[in-house]
Amino acid sequence: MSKKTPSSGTQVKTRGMNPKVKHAWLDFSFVVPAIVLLAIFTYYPIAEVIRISFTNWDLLKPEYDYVGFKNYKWLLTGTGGKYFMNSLKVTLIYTVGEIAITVVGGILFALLFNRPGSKGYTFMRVLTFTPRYIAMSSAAVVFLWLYDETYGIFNYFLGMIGAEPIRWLQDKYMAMVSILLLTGWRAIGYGMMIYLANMRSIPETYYEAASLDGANGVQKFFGITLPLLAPTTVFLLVTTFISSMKVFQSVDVLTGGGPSRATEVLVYLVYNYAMNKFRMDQACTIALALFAFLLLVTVATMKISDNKVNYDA
Amino acid sequence: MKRLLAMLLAVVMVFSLAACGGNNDETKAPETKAPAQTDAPAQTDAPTAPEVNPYLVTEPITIKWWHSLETQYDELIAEIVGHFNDTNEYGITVEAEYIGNYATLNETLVSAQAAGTGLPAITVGGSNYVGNYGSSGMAEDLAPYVQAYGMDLTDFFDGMLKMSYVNDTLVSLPFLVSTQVLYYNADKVAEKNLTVPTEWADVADFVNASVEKDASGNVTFWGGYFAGWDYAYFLPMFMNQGVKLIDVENNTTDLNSEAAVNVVKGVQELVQSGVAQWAYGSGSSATMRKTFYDGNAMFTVHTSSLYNTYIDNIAQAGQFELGMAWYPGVDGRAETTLGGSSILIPAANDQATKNAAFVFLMYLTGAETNVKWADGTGYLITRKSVLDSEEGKAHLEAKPAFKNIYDNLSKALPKIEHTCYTDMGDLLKSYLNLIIIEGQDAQEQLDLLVEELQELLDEAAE
Repeated sequence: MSKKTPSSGTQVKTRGMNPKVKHAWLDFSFVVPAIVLLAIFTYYPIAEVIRISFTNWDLLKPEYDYVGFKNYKWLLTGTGGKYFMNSLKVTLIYTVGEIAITVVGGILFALLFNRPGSKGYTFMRVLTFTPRYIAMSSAAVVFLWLYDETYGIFNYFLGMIGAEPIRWLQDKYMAMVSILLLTGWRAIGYGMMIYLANMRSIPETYYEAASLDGANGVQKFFGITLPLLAPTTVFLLVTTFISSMKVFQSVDVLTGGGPSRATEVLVYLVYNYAMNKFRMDQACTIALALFAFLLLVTVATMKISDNKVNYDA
Repeated sequence: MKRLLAMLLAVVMVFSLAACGGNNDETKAPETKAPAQTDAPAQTDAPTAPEVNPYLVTEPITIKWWHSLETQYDELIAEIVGHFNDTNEYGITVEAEYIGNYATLNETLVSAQAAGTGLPAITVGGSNYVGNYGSSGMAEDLAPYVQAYGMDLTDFFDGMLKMSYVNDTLVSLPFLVSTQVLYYNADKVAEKNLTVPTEWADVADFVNASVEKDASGNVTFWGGYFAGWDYAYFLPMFMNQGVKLIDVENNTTDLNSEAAVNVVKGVQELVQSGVAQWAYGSGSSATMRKTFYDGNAMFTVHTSSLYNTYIDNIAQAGQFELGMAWYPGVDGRAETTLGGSSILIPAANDQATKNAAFVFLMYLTGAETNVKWADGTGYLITRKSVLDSEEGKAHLEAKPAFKNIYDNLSKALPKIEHTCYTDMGDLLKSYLNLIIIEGQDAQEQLDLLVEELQELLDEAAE
């Protein structure tokens, strides 16, 4: 006759609940707080945004009507579509720039500063990472002065070497470059730190084996370092992509979306429709289009990375 | 049964009277200033209950006032608000809160309106926003209050008062009002024996005669500095040429007409030839002013509200005497637009709050306070009676440059009331940058502007 353990089914059955169900409920209870918070602060607002996109809500008026797909029609065939496409293009240009700076700059700086034990390089790493701690709005205000055409220090230095002053924020091409310079100043240290942390986890034996095979530094980098950093690169790609698609503060302070909509990124467009034109309905429709686009690209990136990236390393 | 009914009625009447009596004894309302008599009620033989004015302040109350006056005006605000708090007979206490510039204040106000909580009792509204506040019903209709308190609106300058109406509803009152002017370096004008232009046709000659260059051809003194970051500054250039920015009746624009193109080409030529500057983008206002304060430009096109700032900064630099001229016109037509801010009451507040807010509004825009604002800031006097008073005369003695502005004030008009007005301004700003700074073809770009604006106008008309 077998003995029944305290956790056996019979004992639980006497309490009236299947142990599997009981454990499932127990597990679920641990995630309930997170679900509640997500529901309140994430899913409910998303549902509200969807609902508002079917209305004609002018932010200044308390009452509104449901107008069906009118805002979507406006976005696809009206002026909304034209401005949305312009902002999408601008945002993608910015995104490519920020990703390039974060990934390429980050890996280059990581290679440069990957010198454990050197106080000088530690200091340089701290110096490179520090801008990350400075609020974007504060940094942007300082950069506004640095970029000033007449009194800015950048043009002062250009003048010292006999170069013509640059209209950093007034020229429609330079304005985006100026925003990316500020972004790069803040982002490059972050990319460096993420890469550094992962570079140091690559076993030294791989490099020793490669050296025995006669590989040089470049070959080691492309044959060992870069492939083993692929998961880190995917992580940086996805997180930087999502954050850069939501860029706002630097644009708001430095250019206000100008000149001539050259830096009117998507979130700024949403803000403009909501707070300056008071068209919350149209702002929500644009926000949803941005959401759908982000979701699609993120899912696609994850799918591709699942097939191409080796996470075992 | 009848006796029972009569007794019951008697009991009810006794209790009713007792309740009324008790109420009268307990309610100790502060002494309130009765508003001016409105239309007298029709006399009838039957006794009627006395009409209660719903706009009276009957209890002490604390209210918030949101404004956009930066820290340099803290003392002035403390003095004006403090005086009201100490002297008003209604027990109203006002707490003044600086929210930010007009754009920030707009965001905060709109957010509070949408949230349905946290609205101030009374607020300043930038002139670009008041139309929206009014047409949406967010701002209280002030006409009944004005009538109840017998406020004399005719004392406000006509253009400023028109600015306060949206769809024939009085949604605000003029508060800190300004207009576009030309600040110039009076010493340089005298030194070069020039006359400040009153016609746009003479501006180019004036700029060319003013500019100074070193031996290498680099500009050392700019002939002029145009404000390009805000569309308000170049609207008069078009208006005086007869260009219809938005033809409200036909829902069209003629911003690509020959007259409009010529205006733009004129400025483009000055900027592209390197004798004048076009200030565009964030921070360009500060750069323009600094260039002028440092004695490196003949004139700037700017707002009259910054007169004190100009005077203070030029005095600090000790460079030159400041002159302020009315905006140049075309064949004697020299209209400008009014800017600055109005003051309004959010309609969503409860009646007691709105009543107190209106009492404070009357004080803020009243004759006595009006001259204090004008003295302490660079904004204009808004009341005719103040200009003619001793205080007004003293004000003009202290700021003689403003005489020219008041002499021309009838030419300062409110902005057009149209849903697409801000869109028009934003597009204009954007395209003018392409034409004036990047040197693109004026006609081509203005055609594109009109095409884009027409789409918005058509969409708004649907």
